[in-house]
Amino acid sequence: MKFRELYRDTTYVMPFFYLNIDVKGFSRTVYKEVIKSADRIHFSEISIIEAKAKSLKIGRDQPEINKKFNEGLSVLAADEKAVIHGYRAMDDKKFNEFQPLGLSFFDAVILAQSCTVGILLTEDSKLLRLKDIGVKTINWDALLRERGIGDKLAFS
Amino acid sequence: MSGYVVKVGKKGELYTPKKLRLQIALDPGSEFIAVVKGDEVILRKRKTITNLLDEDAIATVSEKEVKKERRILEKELLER
Repeated sequence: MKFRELYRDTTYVMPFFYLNIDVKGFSRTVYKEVIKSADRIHFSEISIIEAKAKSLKIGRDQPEINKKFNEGLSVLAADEKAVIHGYRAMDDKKFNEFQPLGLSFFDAVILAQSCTVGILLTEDSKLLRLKDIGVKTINWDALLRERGIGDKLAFS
Repeated sequence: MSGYVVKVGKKGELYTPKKLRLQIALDPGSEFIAVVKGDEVILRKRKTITNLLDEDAIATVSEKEVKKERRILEKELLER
């Protein structure tokens, strides 16, 4: 199964800012193929802020990351394949519906924003347990399995 | 600096030598920014999101750190 459109949680935004992630089986090469096969990739503006906060801390020891972050953001903003979502009225409506789920603030905002896309790639165990909420949540492992990418490729 | 002869087609297409294509990893669909400086034209490869993934990462962020950072930002925002 191919995901033509996919909303990404913050973890999957980090690689665009020259940051690796420690998700089991993740590789930049496979991620590149996943992106190539998609029509568009979506993520929240909140994830950009979170990535900036993280890179600021890393920048204390590795100042070159500040320039790299800016470069990554410029590419993301210019690439038609990437859609950065702001917070809109329909997201807020969904956010209010998700209040009883007891999610953290940013988790609820990102989940609400992902409803327009219908599928959220995340490694958050709480989000992955959710069912029948109008958006499907999957992790990296499930994404590879659904796309039929074997372990050999996943670990290459 | 090596120079290449790039020919222009009837409709303005630029035909690049194979050696140049291999040297700069030029794939179909690649985009360039053309900067004109007098009689010089500088072509700069336009990066895409997948190009970003070709480059080496500077650091690694764990899932735990992503969550921790999220809690810190939420705290700053909501308890202000």
